[in-house]
Amino acid sequence: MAQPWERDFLLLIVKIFFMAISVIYAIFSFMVVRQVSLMNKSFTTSLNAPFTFLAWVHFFVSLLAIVLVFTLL
Amino acid sequence: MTALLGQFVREPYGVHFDGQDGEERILLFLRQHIIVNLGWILITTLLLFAIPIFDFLLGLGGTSLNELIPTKYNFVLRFLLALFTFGYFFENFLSWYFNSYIVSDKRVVDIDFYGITHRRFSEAPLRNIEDITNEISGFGPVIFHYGDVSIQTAAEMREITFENVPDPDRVQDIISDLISKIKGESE
Repeated sequence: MAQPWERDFLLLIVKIFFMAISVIYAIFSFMVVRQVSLMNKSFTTSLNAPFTFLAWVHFFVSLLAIVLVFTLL
Repeated sequence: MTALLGQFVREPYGVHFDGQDGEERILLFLRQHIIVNLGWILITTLLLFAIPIFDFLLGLGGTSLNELIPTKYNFVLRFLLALFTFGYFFENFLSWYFNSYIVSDKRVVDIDFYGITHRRFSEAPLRNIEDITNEISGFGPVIFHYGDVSIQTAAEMREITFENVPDPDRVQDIISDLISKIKGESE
């Protein structure tokens, strides 16, 4: 059975890992937004607007993930 | 005809590419065969069921994820995994959707996206095309009838390859007919 301090230390490592991952992911999701705008410029179809919308929603949800990780944990 | 999810669309409706001239008509619009997406679709499905499967396996051992880690960590883990799964699906779908090959009445165009940081836009006028080869190689391509069409040009950009397109022999035939028509007109 793990000692309480061992468990706390493990949770701290997990917390730092989640923080780093969520920040890196937000950068990635912003790059997806930029990429979608570049892709939409390459050729246009009727799905361009939904793609842009989804890319922005994905980015804002990734920002929400940062907020969750930094406030909840 | 619509090019929403099509992989072999003749005279697509509502599609315009970057640099298209006003009177230029798109005659053929191609994407990679849908079967090439199988790998990432399977991984997405696995990611979707990762936590339920993990929960099930822990249940066999008489415990659960909630008992192993605090509830708030459990919640954040599920939230992040759902987000990553969507991101992985979205990025792969976009790569397939926008990696496209276009044959217009003036040129062939190859638009490639690799990951989120690389874009390549190649084109060659039909009159500069010297040779076209199609190749179907491997189990998947033979079963589902897709393959590569290599287009040799006289221009600086020596070769344009349409990768994993459906009916590569038909694509070759259509482009060959177009070239014959254009070179016949100019003679």
